[in-house]
Amino acid sequence: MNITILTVLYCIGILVLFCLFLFGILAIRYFIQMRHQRVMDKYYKKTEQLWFNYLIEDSQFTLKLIPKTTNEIKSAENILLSYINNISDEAIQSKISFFAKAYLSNYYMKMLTHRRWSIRMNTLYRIVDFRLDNLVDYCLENQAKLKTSNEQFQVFKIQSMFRKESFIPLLTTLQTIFSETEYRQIFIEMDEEMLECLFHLFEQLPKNAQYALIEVFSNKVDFEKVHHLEGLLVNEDAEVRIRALKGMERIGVIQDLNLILPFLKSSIWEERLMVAKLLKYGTLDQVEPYLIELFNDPNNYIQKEIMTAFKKEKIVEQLNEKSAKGIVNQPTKQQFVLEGH
Amino acid sequence: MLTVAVLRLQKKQLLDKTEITEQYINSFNSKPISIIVPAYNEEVGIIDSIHSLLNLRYPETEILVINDGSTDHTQQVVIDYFKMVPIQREIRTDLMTTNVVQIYQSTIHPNCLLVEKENGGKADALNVGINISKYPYFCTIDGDSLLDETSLLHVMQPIILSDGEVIATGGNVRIANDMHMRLGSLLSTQISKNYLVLMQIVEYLRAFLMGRIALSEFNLVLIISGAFGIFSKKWVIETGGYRADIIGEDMELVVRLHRAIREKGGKHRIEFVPEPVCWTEAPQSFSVLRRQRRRWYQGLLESLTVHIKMALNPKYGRIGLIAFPYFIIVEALGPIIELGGYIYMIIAFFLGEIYYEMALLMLLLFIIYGVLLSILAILFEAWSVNQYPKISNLLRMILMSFTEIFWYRPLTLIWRLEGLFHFLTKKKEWGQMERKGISKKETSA
Repeated sequence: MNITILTVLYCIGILVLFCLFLFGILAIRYFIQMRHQRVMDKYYKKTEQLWFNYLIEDSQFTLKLIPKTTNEIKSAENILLSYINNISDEAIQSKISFFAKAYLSNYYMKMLTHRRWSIRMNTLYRIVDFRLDNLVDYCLENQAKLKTSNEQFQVFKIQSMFRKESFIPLLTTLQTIFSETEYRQIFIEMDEEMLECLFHLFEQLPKNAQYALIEVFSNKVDFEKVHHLEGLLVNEDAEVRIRALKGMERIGVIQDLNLILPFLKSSIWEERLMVAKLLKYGTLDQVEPYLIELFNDPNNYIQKEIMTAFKKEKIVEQLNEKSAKGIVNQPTKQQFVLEGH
Repeated sequence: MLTVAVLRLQKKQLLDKTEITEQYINSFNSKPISIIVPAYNEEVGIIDSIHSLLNLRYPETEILVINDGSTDHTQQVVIDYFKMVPIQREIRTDLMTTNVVQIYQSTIHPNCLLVEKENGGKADALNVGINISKYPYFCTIDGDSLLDETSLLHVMQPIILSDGEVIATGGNVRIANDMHMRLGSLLSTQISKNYLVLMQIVEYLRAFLMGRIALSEFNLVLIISGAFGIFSKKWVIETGGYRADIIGEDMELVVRLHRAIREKGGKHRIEFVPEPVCWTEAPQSFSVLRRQRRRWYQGLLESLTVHIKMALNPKYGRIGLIAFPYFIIVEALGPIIELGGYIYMIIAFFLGEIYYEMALLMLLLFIIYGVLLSILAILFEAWSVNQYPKISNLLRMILMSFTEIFWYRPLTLIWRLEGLFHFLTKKKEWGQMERKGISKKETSA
């Protein structure tokens, strides 16, 4: 037979075998999936009411709840996670944590060093969800095997929850830099004491951590925290200053007007915009001269902010009157059109 | 591309994806989104589409339905169903558009607005939506499409985690014809019995799960489906918004964004996320499919032509040196090369130059290669959703793949060549898309 034809026939043969192999994988996986689902459904039906009785009704723990196989463990995880995610109750969380420590720890220890990344990640998620502080040391011992950035973040998060004493020094010395969102996720769960501690180390933190810390402080809307944000208004980084101003605006208080007045003449329009937003928390007598100055600002967002914030006070009409006298300019660029009949 | 897709999907196959939803479900950890739904004659499916958006698990959204001068009852259906009333709302003029006539707001769902505007095309409708939107990110979705309830959480994840380095993401689009649905939620997923739809299902799986995953790994995504994409409003406005004079406005915008990224320098990226799903209605008749494919191909050619300077230009990095040549050679010139192959075969046949045994073997080789790619796409889909298909559905899709080369490929080739003709003669028409509605509706109890 012609060599070319033989080659093509071999290629066809290999492709056909590969097709059959893939078809086989899909078919076998489907049946395995069905079998696993049956086991999980059976465990769920057997224990659904028992879990409710134990966690909500405070009944006695029963050995029937202990999962025996990997699929039963997965089913138990689903049940417990649905309680954690939908009910905020420390007693329930404690029971779940106790159960997981007693009956699932060995399983999670094996999974933590699994060759598959997704299984290791799931295990790290469960350590956080079920508060398995008994596995933290094991996590840290095997940190070399948890090399990807996602895993490193999860380990970092675990340390922030369960190793608070050593976490803050770690934050300032860690080589890995996480995204601002990731720092936010960690800081939002911290208690007041730790956050205060972090603020004292502000300059030593990576930039993303600094921004996240400001956001977390601002989000708490605590008047007593304003002085921290005021302290950041002299920071070299414009982003820090803008976020500090934004945080003060979110908290809704001006303790010292003189601290924000220098930003009226800032070359950065975002800082001037934040001043415009903050002025609505001052009294009219205090802020009117600054309103006029900002109403003349070339940036339309700032003019619009003044109009929006003060329309109820009829300030805009007053400013318009002054405008007719040539004191205040009307916005001309990027017209803001109010439409409607 | 296959290897990259395999590695990426296999890696995340067993990952617990609900963790993402729980982490980002609060507004502190997420970013608000304006969902823009351009609608032209969508009275059949618009209510279900809006319901699916209202059902989304996402902390902060606004829904802007842009009625682009529909000639059917789209507007009245939406106003009546959602009890909408006229309101006044600020409209910025960041992007030039046709006139907005009136804005309505739902009294039941205050975050749902309807914008009545003069007809100007999909691109113009999207630009109006951008002008009216108040959030820093917007999501484009077709008027006949449905989103899975956790879609936005998944598709926003790269943007949130990258602190804004990712400026646009696209999600997976799947075909939902003949699936059971109620109030915008899919009750069960099943494969359509229509052979044309079945063929498109296989085609979509190959395109999304092989092509785009691999391209995304290297920041080479040149298309984000207009049916489901998230964009940074700032970047889109800075680059001029959607172009109303181009048929493939979605691809052209993405190419322009890539261009802007390179010209500004910086590490910004555009990614594809396979997990979130948008269910869309695929054409069920040849005439509608023909118009769609013609339009897609014409849009591709227009987008590539407008930005042809990027091709093989080192200034644009991998986009210019790899993605553009790939799209030009494989996607743009592919139909012409394919046509050349058919012509050659016909000429060779009449000249008696065909080596029949070899020709038949080669035909068999290509058929089986196509089937292999289809099976791989089905496997990728299974890994992506961690759910394997029923054997009966698997067999139907494989059988359909066997027949592809005999009818579907030649037809799509002809339609793409029509698109080429329209491109060369500068014809611009969207054509009429017949809407039958995505699914079988549940009758009320």
